[in-house]
Amino acid sequence: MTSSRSASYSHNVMHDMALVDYFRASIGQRAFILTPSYPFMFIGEIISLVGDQVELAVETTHFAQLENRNWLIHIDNIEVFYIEFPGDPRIPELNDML
Amino acid sequence: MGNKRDEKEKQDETLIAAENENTNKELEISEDNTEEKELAAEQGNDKKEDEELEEEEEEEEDEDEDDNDEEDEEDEELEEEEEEEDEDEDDNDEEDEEDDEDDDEFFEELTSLIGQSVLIVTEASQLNLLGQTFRPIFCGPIVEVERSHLTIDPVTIKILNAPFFQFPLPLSIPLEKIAQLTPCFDCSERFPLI
Repeated sequence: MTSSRSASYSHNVMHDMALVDYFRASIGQRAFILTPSYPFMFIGEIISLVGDQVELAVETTHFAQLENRNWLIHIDNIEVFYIEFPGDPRIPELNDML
Repeated sequence: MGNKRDEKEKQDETLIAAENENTNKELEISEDNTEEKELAAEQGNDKKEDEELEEEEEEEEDEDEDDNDEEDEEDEELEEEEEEEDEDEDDNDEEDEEDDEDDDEFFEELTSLIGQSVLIVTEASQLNLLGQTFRPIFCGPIVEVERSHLTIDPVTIKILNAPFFQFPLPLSIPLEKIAQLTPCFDCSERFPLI
């Protein structure tokens, strides 16, 4: 019998591990990610998983100076996301979105 | 690069200044049906939800073909809740590394909400979409639930001056980020965004 605190903790760990696994299974796909931290939005291909960080080849953020480089994004910091698998709706190019 | 940035900034100003409907148009990819959808939502949301339900059922069938055995088991759980105990035995094999099957209560609750329109608030105080800040309040039907996240499609984002902005992509929300959730929520409902 586990205490409620450790049960809650294991919930969090389970969900976080499942999310790491989901992103690992999505390596090579394009992802759209919103985080509450600057610069708030990332669009790019998932390159790899480094611990619980997802490595993204970012082609689009809010600011051009931060684009076309790899970013490590802490999975716990991802608020919402969309991963574009073949056949799914395409993540729009920035020019399309604006 | 510089031009692109200028365009973004210019766009930001436009976004902030724009009326609700205009903003929707600006952010829409190429679909011009946002207003129609909003109208439909306001006039007869029930009807819309029915259509969505039908679509989702089709989607689910498609997904079943692609997805792994785990999902198939979940579908069985939905159909045959009485046999849940038997299913749990199967599930144990997958979850032993992580935790007891008791931990799936939230997951199972969410799975039972597939097809329903929900209002979900996540933990962040605000998010930012190309310079437009908004409260992380999402509304729409759940189309997919996994151990790590759920997916809403179509998803309405409560942007301050565009409270019925329908995002052009489905959005997935990590279960860990869900702060509040209420089922059976009519997305055309108006409420203050403070």
